[in-house]
Parts: sequence; structure tokens; C-alpha cells
Amino acid sequence: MAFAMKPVSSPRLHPKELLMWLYLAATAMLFAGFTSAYLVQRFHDFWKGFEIPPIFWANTGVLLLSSYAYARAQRGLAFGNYRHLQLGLMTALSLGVIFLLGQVIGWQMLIRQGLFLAGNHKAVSYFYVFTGLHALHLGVGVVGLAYWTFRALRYRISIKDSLGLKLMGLFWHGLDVLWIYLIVFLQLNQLL
Amino acid sequence: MAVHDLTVSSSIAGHEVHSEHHHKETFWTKYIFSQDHKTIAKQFLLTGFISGFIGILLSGIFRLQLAFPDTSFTFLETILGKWAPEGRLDPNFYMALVTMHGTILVFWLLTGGLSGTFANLLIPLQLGARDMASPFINMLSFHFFFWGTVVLMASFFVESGPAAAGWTVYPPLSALPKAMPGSGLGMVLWIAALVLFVVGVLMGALNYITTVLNMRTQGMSLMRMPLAVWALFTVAVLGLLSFPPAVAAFILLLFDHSLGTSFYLSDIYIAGQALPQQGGNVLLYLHLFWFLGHPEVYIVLLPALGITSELISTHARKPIFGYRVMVYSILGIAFVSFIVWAHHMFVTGMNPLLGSIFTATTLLVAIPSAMKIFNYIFTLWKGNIHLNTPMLFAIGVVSFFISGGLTGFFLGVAPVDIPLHNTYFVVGHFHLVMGVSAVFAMFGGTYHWFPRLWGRMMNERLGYIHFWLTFIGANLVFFPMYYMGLGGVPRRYYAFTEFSFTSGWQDLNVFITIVALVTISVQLIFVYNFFHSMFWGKPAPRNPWKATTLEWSAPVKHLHGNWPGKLPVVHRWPYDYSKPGAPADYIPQYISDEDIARGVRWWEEDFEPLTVIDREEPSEGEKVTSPSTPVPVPAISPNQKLDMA
Ligand code: HEM
Ligand SMILES: [Cu+2]
Repeated sequence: MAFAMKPVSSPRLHPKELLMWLYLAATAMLFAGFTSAYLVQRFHDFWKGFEIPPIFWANTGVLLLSSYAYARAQRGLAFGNYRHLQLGLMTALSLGVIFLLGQVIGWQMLIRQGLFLAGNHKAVSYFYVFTGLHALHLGVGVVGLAYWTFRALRYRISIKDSLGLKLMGLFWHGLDVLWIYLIVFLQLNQLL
Repeated sequence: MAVHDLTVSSSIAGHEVHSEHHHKETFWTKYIFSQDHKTIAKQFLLTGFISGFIGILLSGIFRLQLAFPDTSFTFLETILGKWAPEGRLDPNFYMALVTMHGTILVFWLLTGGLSGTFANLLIPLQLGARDMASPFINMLSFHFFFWGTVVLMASFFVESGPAAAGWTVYPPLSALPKAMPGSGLGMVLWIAALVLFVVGVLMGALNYITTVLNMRTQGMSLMRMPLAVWALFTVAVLGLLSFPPAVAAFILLLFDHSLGTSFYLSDIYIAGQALPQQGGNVLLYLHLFWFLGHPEVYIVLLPALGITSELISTHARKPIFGYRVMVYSILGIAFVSFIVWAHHMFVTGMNPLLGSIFTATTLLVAIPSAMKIFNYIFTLWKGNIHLNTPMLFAIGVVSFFISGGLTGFFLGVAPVDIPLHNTYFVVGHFHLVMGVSAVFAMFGGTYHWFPRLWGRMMNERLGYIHFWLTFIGANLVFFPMYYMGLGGVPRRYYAFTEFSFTSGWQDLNVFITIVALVTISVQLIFVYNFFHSMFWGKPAPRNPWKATTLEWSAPVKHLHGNWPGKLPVVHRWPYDYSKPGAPADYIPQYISDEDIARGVRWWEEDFEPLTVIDREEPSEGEKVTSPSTPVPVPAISPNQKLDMA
């Protein structure tokens, strides 16, 4: 497999890239729907807050690092450095899995405090809905990352795949951005 | 003749063997997991029509109940079993029928079916693209739609019956499993089906938008796109923006229903017992739902109007009047449709000031809508009108859009709407303006593009009969509902025998039911015509309607990649009909002025487009003849790369 030695960039948006952006727009609208529901109920008398376990913030760091590792992997591909590609993908994947495990631990901490999805504690219910749906999307992303990592480890990625990796990256970074929005939004609503 | 047929079919068979050898196509890849947009269009059309037919049959059953509430029909028990004990419809099942009727027709026939069919058929073909941006996602789009259909239909067979909270599934009826039989498992399946459906619609929308923005052939500027494509494109954007919040609403509903949350529930007493759910808010659901719900009605209507534009212009042999105005009015309607949703909520006790604001925005829709209507009429004015079946249906769309749309303005004014809300006036309004008019567009589109889909013509005489009987029937069914609504008859009631102000309309109910049953039966003419023509219809020439748009420049027999070899280049807008001084009453988009000057005779059969470009993967033949050195793969594939795998 031939490897180009300098970064390549696309002059115009490839159709598949536009497709991915539109997909991200749809996801954004989904969470905009949830956000507006949250805001509508936020100001009711029933509303009461709760402490978001700090592990969710630690997870935020993990996800950021994962995105960074992914960007390194892409650079590795662009510069023809297979080692970096493999390492980057493996790191991104492991951090993704760690994030998911961290989320599960976070939910368990909530449960131990007696904060359940079911019931009338809206802030908590919304918290589960937001983080749960995000985790569901992230699970899909982990499967995708696992696929690319598997290919990278078997030296089955070539410069032809830079579009595929770019799309995967958009998806992965998109989930990162979404998570940061969610955690900041949820935390601010607890503080204010 | 027989001999001739034999040779034709054997040569076709021979060709198929040949192509099978090349693409390794099996029954599964060709018909089920096809990635060809034309096949996917057929899949959407058939799934849409079949589910639509089921939905219409449901309405036959509940119309029977409305007309003869005290009669027992033993055949009902035979087909419905426990839902019609002793031949009398169970009231719970009446609600389930109404719910499923609305869901199937609004979402499955008129959203999935209508957009799915015509976006798939027309966007690539009218824009000169080889296929959608991602044929694979396009295939998935249909498969999600299909499995949604299966789940929805399966809910008829669960113990507690299908969902029964109306097509808008308002809580608490939809959120409390014990509220009524249809609030149980049927409701879960309804939500599951809708989520699958929405995923399918969104996958389609992503592709439609990308294909329109990125894959048009040379010369096909946005302002040269046929209005049908403009409408389908806009609708894809609308869907992309409005379906996800509706999914959010449905997900929260599912949580309330099955997982014990209380997003929508508060202060509910059942048999004197207070439920534990507190602090929820039904209005929240209404807002989230109608934020989709109103754009949804335009997701249905705009493609219908887009199709109508094509049909009216082609069959009146006149350029569409005010092309630019038509484009802007599509965009205008799409925009306004996002800021009117609360006109479905005037009776929820909203602040009167807010009510006035939504009244104002609602009335704004009048401007772009009226512009479209006038433009249709001006297009017809002094046209060389060919009253064939597609044209009749297109004129039907305009007629129903007027008779149904005008009453929208009554309903849009809060003080007028408050007494009319949830009466048969609303039922009349939305059936005429959305239901019948979009169904007519779908029929018209099917008659018009049938030769493009199946290479054969549908029978004109049967089409005529189908049109007139359906046109008269639909008017007789739905127009009287306005009077019933003004008389205060509420919708979704199981029987109107209890109160004198409703039982006085019983004769009219009987009349409507009889006409409805006849009109439903008339659709069998269409079913027969459709399937008969598919196999035995008159073989179609390449451009049977002498239309200008690109889909008619591709060969009758479908090719993977649409055009053999190269793609047509576009030189003009899509409505050059009856141009003064032109040698024929239409000039296709791919004919340049030089072509005309050179004396090209495009109106003769089997004309091959002259100006073509080669901007995609070489066709099968070219690949074979090219030297066998491997083609270097570009680092990032060029803009228009086709993934034919
Ligand atoms: C032309 C301007 C239109 C206006 C001002 C308008 C206004 C309204 C209003 C105010 C309602 C609520 C009535 C009520 O429930 O009390 C309504 C209901 C409805 N309209 Fe329209 N409408 C218009 C056009 C359309 C179009 C073009 C469509 C579909 C293509 C449509 C489809 C519907 C549907 C489906 C409902 C009923 C929803 C339900 O309660 O089940 N309307 N319309
Ligand atoms: Cu509306």
C-alpha cells in the first residue's frame, strides 16, 4: 500500500463529509429537543437539584484525551507513520471504553445515593436520559473505532482510507463536543 | 408479432445473463438489498401504497361504525375477533383504528411513501447524477422504513391491540399503560415503529440534501432545478430539523410509559386513587410534538406541490408561471412552518397574547400559499392543456388545496378556532388540504412517472375513471364534514347517538360512509391498472410526455448509473415549453442553442443527447477496454466519486 509523505487535504467538501455534517446536525436537533424540554421544566416549583458526581468530570477529561489521540492517529496516516496511526487509534479506542465504564460507575454512584431514573426527581431523570443517550451514541462510535483499530493493526489501512477516518473522526469529535455541552449545561443548571 | 416478441425477450434475457455475470446480481441484491435509487424508489412506492391501502381499509371499518352504530355486522367478528363481539365494534378498538389510520396515512403513505418514492426517483435522475451520494445509506433508509412498517403492523396482533391515543399520541392516554387497552404494548410498538421510521426518513434526508448540493451535473445550477427537486430538497431539510425533536418527545414518552419517569405526568387520579407521578407537564409534550407536527404537514404537502408543478407545466405545455416565486414560496412556507406550531394548542389555556402572535404567524402562510395557487392557475391559463390522467390529478391537487386550505385560515384565528377545535371541521380541513391533495399528487406522480419506473404506460381510460370517481367521492366525503364541524360535532367519538346535537347529523353520516366505501372500492381500479400495466402495459417510449427534464433522457431500460457512458449537460431551465420560434413545443434541458442551430431533431425517437460529460467512474464497457494497469487512486476521491463498490 502506497503511502503519501505529505498531508493531503480536500479542496471541497466531499459528499460523504457533508453527509456526516448533516447527521451531526440531526443529532444536535435531537439534543436541542431534550434541552428545551429540560428548560421548560427547570423553572417549575417541583424542580430540585442534586450533586453531579465528580467522576463525570473526570470522564470528560478521558473523552477529550481520546479525541486528541484520534487526531494524532489521523496525522499519523497523513504523514505515513503507521506506528502513530496504530498507537493513536488504540489509545482513542481504549479511552472511549474507559469513558463508558466511567459513566457506568457514575450512574452506580447516583444509584447508591438513591437517585433513580424513575420517580419525580426531574433533574435526575433528565440526567440519565441525557447521559444515557450520549452513551448509546458513543457505544456506536466505539464499535467504529474498534473496526478501524482492527484494520490498522493488520496493516489494512491506506491513504485511500483517509476519508473514512475523517468521517469517523467527525463522528467521534462530534460526540466529544456533545458531551462537553451536556456536562457544562447540566452542571450550570445545578449551580444556578 | 409473436416471433418478434420472442426475439426481443430472448435478447433481453441474454443481456441479463451477461450483466449478472458482470455485477454478480442475485435476487437479493437486485430487489431486496438494492442500492440503486430507482429500485429503492419502487420499494418505497410499493411499501407506501400497501400500507396506505391498509390504512384506508381501517377507515372503512370505523366509518361503518359511525353510520350504523347500533347494527351488528357478523363479518366484523369474523375478521376482528374479540374486537367486535357479536359484530359490534369495541369502543377501544375504534380509537385504535382511528390512531392507526392517521399514523399510517400521515407518516407511512404521505411522508415515507411520497417523499421516499419521488425523492429517490427524481433527485438523481432530474439532476443528472448517477445515484445518491451514498447508495448504501439510501438502502438502509428503506430498510429502516420497512422494519418500522413491520413493527407497526405487528401491533395489530398483540393481545391488548394497537396504540389508541390518536395519531398525535397525547399523554396521559399514551403514557399510562393501564389507561386503556391501546395504551399497553401497542403504544410501545407504536413508538418503536416511529423511531425506526424516523431513522429511515433521516437517512433519506441526509442523502437527498447532499445529492442536491453536491452531485448535480454540469450546468444544473440551483435555479435550473425542477420545482419537484426544490420541494423534495426543502422537505429533506425540514425533516432533518423537525423529526429529531419529535424523537426526543417520543423517547421521553417511552420513559414515562415504561420506566416510571414523570416528564409529562402529574396529578392523575384513577378511580379516586392518585398516581405517584408528580411535576410533569403535558403541554411540554404538545409543544415538542407540534414543533414536528406542523412542519410535518408541509413535509407532506410540499412534495405534492412540487410534483404538481412538474405535471401542470408539462401537460399544459407552458413554462411554469413565476419559477423564482415558486422557489421562494417553497422556502418561505418551509420557514414559516417552524413558527406556527402553537395554533394546534389554542385551547390549552395559553396566554392570549401568545395566541395572537401565533395567529399572526399562521396567517402569514397565506402569502406563499396563495402565490403558489395563482401561479398554477396562470400556468394553466391559455395553456395547451392535455387533460390526461396525470394532469387531471394535478388539477385535483390544486382544487383540494384551495377547498381545504381556505378553512385553515378560519382555524388559524384563535377565537374562531376555540369552538371549532377537535370538531369535524378540523377533520374536513386536514383531509382535504393534506390527505386528499397529497394522495392525488401521489397518484398523479405515479401515472406520470410510471413509464420511467417500469418502462410501460398505465391505462388512460382506467385512469380517467379512477380520477373522476375519486375526485367526486373525496369531495362528497370531506366537504360535508365542514358543516358537521360548524354544528359542533366532535371528532374521535365512537357513536353519535347520545346527544341530539350530534344525532341530528346521522343521515349525513350514513351518506358519507356509503360514499366513502364506494370511493375506497374505486381504488381497486388503480390497483388493477398499476399491476396490470407493470407487466402488460403498452411499452413506453423514452419520453412519452415530451417533457424537458433529464429523467426522460435516460434509457427506458434501467441502467445502474442511469446514463450509459456519459452524463447529459444542462443548458437551460426545465420549463422550455412552447417557446416561440423553437422547432418543437419543448426543448429538453440538455439541448444547447448550438444544438438547435445545428438542426438537432430531439423530438424524434431514440435521440441520443449530444453534449455529455464524463465526470464519474467510467462505465462498465470503458473499464474493460482501458489498459489493465491499475488506476492510481486519488488520495481523497474527487468530489463526485460514486461508490459502486
Ligand atoms: C393554508 C394555511 C393553513 C392554516 C392557516 C392552517 C391552520 C390549521 C389550524 C389552526 C389547525 C388546528 C385546528 C385545531 O385542531 O383546532 C390545523 C389543523 C391541521 N392542519 Fe392546517 N392549516 C393550513 C394548511 C394546512 C396544510 C397545507 C396542511 C397539510 C398539508 C394542514 C394540515 C393540518 C392537519 C393535519 C391538522 C390537524 C391536526 C390534528 O389535530 O390532528 N393544514 N390547521
Ligand atoms: Cu399546523
